[in-house]
Amino acid sequence: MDPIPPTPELPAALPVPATSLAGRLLNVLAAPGDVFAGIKTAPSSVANWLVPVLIFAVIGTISMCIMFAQPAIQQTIHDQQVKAMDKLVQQGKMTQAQEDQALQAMEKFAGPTLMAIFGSIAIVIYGFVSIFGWALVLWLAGRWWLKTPFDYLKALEVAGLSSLITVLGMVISTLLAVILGRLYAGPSLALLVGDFDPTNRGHLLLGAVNGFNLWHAGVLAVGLAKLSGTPTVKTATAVFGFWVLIELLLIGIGLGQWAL
Amino acid sequence: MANPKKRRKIIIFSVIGLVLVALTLVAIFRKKQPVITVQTEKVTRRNLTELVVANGKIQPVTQVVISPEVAGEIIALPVKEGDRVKKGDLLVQIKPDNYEASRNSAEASYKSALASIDLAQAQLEKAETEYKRNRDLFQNKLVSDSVFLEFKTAYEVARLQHQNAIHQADQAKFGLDNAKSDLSKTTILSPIDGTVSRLKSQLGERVLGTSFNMGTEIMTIADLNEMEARVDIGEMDVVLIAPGQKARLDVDSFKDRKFTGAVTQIANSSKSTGLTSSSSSQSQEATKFEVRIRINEVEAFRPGMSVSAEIETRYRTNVLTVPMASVTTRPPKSPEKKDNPGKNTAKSGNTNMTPSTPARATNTALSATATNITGTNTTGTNNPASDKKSKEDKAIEVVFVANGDHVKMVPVKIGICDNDYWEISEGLTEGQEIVSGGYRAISKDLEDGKKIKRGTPDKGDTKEAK
Repeated sequence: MDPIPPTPELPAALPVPATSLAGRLLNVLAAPGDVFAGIKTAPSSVANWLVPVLIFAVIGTISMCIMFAQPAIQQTIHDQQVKAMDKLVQQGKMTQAQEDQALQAMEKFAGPTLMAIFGSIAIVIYGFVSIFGWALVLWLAGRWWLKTPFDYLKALEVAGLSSLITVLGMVISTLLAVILGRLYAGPSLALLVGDFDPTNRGHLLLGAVNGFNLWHAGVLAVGLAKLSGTPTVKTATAVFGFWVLIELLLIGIGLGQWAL
Repeated sequence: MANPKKRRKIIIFSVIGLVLVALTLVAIFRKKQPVITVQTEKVTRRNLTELVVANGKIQPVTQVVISPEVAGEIIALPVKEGDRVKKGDLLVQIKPDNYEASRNSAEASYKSALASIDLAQAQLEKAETEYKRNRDLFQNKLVSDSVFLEFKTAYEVARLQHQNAIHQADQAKFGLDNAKSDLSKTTILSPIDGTVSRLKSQLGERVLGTSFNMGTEIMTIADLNEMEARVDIGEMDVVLIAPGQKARLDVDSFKDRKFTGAVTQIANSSKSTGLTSSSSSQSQEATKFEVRIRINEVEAFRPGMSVSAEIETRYRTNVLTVPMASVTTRPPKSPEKKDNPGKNTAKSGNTNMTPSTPARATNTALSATATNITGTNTTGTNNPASDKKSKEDKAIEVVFVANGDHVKMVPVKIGICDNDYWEISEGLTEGQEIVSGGYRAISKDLEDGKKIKRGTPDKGDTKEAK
């Protein structure tokens, strides 16, 4: 028997040149594959997810302040509150006098400043929850579905850097809200709806079809593909499938505004 | 390899940058439409009672002014102001001495006249006897013609003197009756049961009076059990008033009580009251008609007390209503705005609505000025050209319907109104949200399509109360 020839040594993987944090933050928009390839090989860095979260929080807070300062948006919120209370009155869960009292209290104590503060707190919390949540989804997908486990911290870095797309989307949405005077004015199919109703599931579905949400999901899919070493098509199926499920679930249980 | 990647990055960042810059510039430099703060209410169905409000005084229904028919000194005045009197009670005693003397004189004259009749009668009988005797003699040709004629003439004279005496006695009788009448007029009795509401003369005063003219007003007797409110109503509102209409009355002296009444009489002729403007020397007359309202309740009213009446003129049941402040006027949109096609040139004609139909106006001087500021009554020129223009540009009544964050101007047709609400007969449906405040927003600022936000009114942004 001939001896088994030794397995030829594969050349070592070419190391991806390390980029600065700023470079990674910018390149995730234009060349996410390169960024995530570098993430995979480089040591874990807290900055990769913490800085995007902080950016998300700051931009989110500014966005809330700007939006709640718009009279048209204040009016929209007021109309929604009135509509919701009218519905309760019609259902007999509240009397008209109680509705009037509640609206007066809201006008007095829940002005634009307070709404901006609460909105900012909510957006900061959402930022953290979103990043950690998506990181968990990627980690679980890699571990259980793709059978190529990787470190949770890596998933966190991918989710963190991907969130910059959401930040960009938030900026665009804020500018559109100011221009159009509408609360729900993201770059989505909801722009085609004249009188957007956040309680209307159809409108919410249209609002969920947001370009930046889709872009974000795509970049996450690229990140998962890079971390797990599986084709992007497969990871995209997982990520987009999960995204659709979450959107439908949120819309279905009445939290559709969080799906926008 | 790096170049395509680098090019792609440049393109992506450029696109993102351009989009951000463009949106930012649009957001900063877009024409910001001012947002007007308003209050809103819903169109609801109500029962409406149209009211005409007027002010006036309380007066007795029955009131008699006591004045003498003869002149003289008051020697007895047993009543004072506020006393209750019955019909036939002595009110005033005028000194009767002269009238008694006149009566006595007339009586003596009458008796003298009666005596003259007797004398004339005796003379007539004597003349008649002699005439008959001489007639017989004359027939027997025992006396001459001249002698017979003498006796005949004497008889005729005696007969005429007798007749004259009778007429003089009648004349003396009339004189006596007249003197008795004048004497009786020195005692003035109460013609009705009532209260002495006013006493103008005092004991010892000399009063004048004749049968033909009203003499000195001594006192006034009024029946205070039946009182009425006499209010003045402007010519625009008086056409709505009819006898029998119910009224609610507020008497200043009885603030805690509400009184009711019914219209009993409407004056046919006006009584003009002068109004002098403080800013000019010109005076303006307001044409008022007196309306009398019988008060149902009995209370310690006094003549002359001030009263405010709300007369219920018309009723509507279950009609669509909006708050009074919601209705305003705007000029109709003209397609031929050559000067400024996009500009609303009708600002000068915009007012908040006081009724062009006359019902709501209070019957004071304010009603005259109120009609001067309604959009339908603003033009009062003598220029035919401007009159024609004003007819063409006649303002229409509108209401602003809140549609989300902007308003839609809806022409409406109004009906009657009460203190707070207008009836809407056309233009709105039940449940629609309409703008009900602030005053400036409705009367001036709001136009079709303007942006609004709902909120509390600004201080001072209220219409002055009528």
